Amino acid sequence: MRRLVNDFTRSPETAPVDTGPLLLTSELKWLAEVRKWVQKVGRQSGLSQEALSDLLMAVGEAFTNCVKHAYGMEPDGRIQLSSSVTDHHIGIHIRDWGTSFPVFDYTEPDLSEAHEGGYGIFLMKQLTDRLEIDVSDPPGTSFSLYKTLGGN
Amino acid sequence: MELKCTRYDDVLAISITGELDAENVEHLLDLFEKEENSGTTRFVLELGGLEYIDSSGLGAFVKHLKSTRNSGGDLKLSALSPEVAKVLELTRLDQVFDIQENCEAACERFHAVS
Repeated sequence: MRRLVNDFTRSPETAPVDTGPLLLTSELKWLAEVRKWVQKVGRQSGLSQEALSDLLMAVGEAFTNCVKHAYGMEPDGRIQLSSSVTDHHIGIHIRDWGTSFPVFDYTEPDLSEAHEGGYGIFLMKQLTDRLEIDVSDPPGTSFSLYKTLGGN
Repeated sequence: MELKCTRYDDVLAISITGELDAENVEHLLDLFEKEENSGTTRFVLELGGLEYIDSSGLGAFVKHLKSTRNSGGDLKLSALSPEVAKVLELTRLDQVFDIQENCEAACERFHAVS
């Protein structure tokens, strides 16, 4: 099932949440709904509270990255979220069709200094058990974030 | 996200509750700028009710930290929730900010070093 949320007369707070794939426009106003969706998927899969908190933050960073960098804050892009659950892990997949993530140019932030930006991808890596960034099907990027079930 | 300000002499304490993310971080940045323009240089953030923060929120903290320290003041953090403490630790920003157990202790630190 696929759901396109493009009814701008409806506020994100009142939009229904289900655990099927979620197709959203590239706007930061959907961040709260993204978190609600991840919470529902995570709870249904039996993820621990600590692992769910990590996943919420990591997925939020991925969605924000798509809005800001793939689409340059232009609101008419599409971002799809979907999930996969096995006996061992939960995966959240965030796909955009904007400018592909510059995967070969990425460098981690120098943690010996404080920065005003640049922590997003770093936190996605730190807060998940596995992060995959796929740019092999342009245009766009697919982020896959995995947490192990039964772990922290 | 809700912002609540309380002034203790020359220190402005800002309680942040709820969720701080890229969508609403501008509200916090606007408050920082307004207070800085009116001469406030000593800030304490009370974060016991902050349930969620993303890298945009962290970036706002760092931006204001640098700005206040350049003006001879500081931005101190207090009453961290476990979620906020974890991201500060991961980014090693826990070594950059002065972090206190509660708002009162953070306010006292200003006067202890002045």
